Amino acid sequence: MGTNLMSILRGMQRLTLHRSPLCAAHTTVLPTTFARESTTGNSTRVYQSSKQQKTSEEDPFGQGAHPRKPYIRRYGYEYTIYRGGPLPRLEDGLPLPIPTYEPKNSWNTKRALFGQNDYIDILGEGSLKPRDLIIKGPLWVRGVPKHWNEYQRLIRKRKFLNSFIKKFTPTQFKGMNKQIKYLYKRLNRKLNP
Amino acid sequence: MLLTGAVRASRNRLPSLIANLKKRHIKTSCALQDMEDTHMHTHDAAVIQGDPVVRPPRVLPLVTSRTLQFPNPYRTPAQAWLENMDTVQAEKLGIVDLHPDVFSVMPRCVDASDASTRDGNEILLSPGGIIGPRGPKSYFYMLPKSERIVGLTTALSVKLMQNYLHIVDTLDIPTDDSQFLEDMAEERNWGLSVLFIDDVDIISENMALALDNVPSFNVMPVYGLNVYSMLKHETLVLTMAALERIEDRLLTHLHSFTRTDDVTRSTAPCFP
Repeated sequence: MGTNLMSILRGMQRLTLHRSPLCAAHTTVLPTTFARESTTGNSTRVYQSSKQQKTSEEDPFGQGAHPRKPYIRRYGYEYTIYRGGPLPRLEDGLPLPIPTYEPKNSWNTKRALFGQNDYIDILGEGSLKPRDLIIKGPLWVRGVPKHWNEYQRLIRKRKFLNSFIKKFTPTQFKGMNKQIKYLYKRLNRKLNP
Repeated sequence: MLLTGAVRASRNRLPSLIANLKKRHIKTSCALQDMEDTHMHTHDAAVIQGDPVVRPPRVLPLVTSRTLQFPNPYRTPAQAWLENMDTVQAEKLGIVDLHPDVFSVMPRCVDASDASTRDGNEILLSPGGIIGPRGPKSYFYMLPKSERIVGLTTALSVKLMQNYLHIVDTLDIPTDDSQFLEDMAEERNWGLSVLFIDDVDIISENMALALDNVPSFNVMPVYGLNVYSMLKHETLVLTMAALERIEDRLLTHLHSFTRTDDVTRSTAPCFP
């Protein structure tokens, strides 16, 4: 116990001695720049005050002021990236990854006649509508208005494919009927479907 | 109907007819003056420089008036020249009246609605977890018929107002050389792209071969006419028969009371 106390006291004494101004006065032999200067971006950079003070032999630190200690950030770390300013594009480097502009042929057959027959129900004889001219997509989806919900679409699908699905893919038929039943309950009996 | 009702006056009666028309239509006095001059020099104008064929002298005027269906008593009809297609330089064959409800309507200014941006990805939430999008969905939609009629009439009016609507007698040209059409467009200030509209969907061989080499000159029947193509092409060239058909269809729909806006009702059979 006693030894412990003594060692602590000694340590405190050492600390106080080290931090005392008298001790500091003896040991201040500070160079003006003690870190190596950063010539390239990859070396450690030394941060100094921006104000340039006038110095002379009598007053080496300028107007009697204490010199500002240069602040070293991340000492010992070597930056792998270029930190020199705006990045130049090297002559031998790769080109920018932008595709070369190729103007489209705006008068090929598809683009020149785009929109044809869109008003066939007005300007035609009246027997055809634009929805009847759709040739892409599954049959039960063609020309269905986009506000139809899943229940309506499934009913239409079942109408179109009933016999086919029942015969060849009975599991799919069962699942479709299940989903229709579930959606029927959801839409008709739930308060907020 | 109005081609058959065209005034085909004999040479003796023509000056008196022109005088009568001058009294009735003050607006067309310029046109009639032109017709009168053409009548005086009909024999000189028979062979035009650069014309590949020698035509017999034309008896003018062919068309000076036109009866309109569903006439609007409050507005005077718009007017356009009737031109020919068998020469490079335009010859005025007459002047035709255009229905004001089709060819001189005021373009509307409509705010863009956010209705089209409301649809999102359809993902359902269930107690068991998230269920993904269900099956192929149709994104088909159409504007109401009334709005599409307004679009067509507005586009036609704008084309007429900007002097980009031309009316010709037929689409037949004397050669199958596409240079003939290009010279014609250059001479008549039709611009770089022309849309020809005819009543029928059959075109003469000469016209088909000539149009094949010029990608920006296109031809459509009346039922293929649409707003996008009208705005994409610089000039719209209608035949007289096409003009009759377009006016007839648009006026019929404008004055009909049947409810045909419902796009959900299919005209095609449900089962393939």
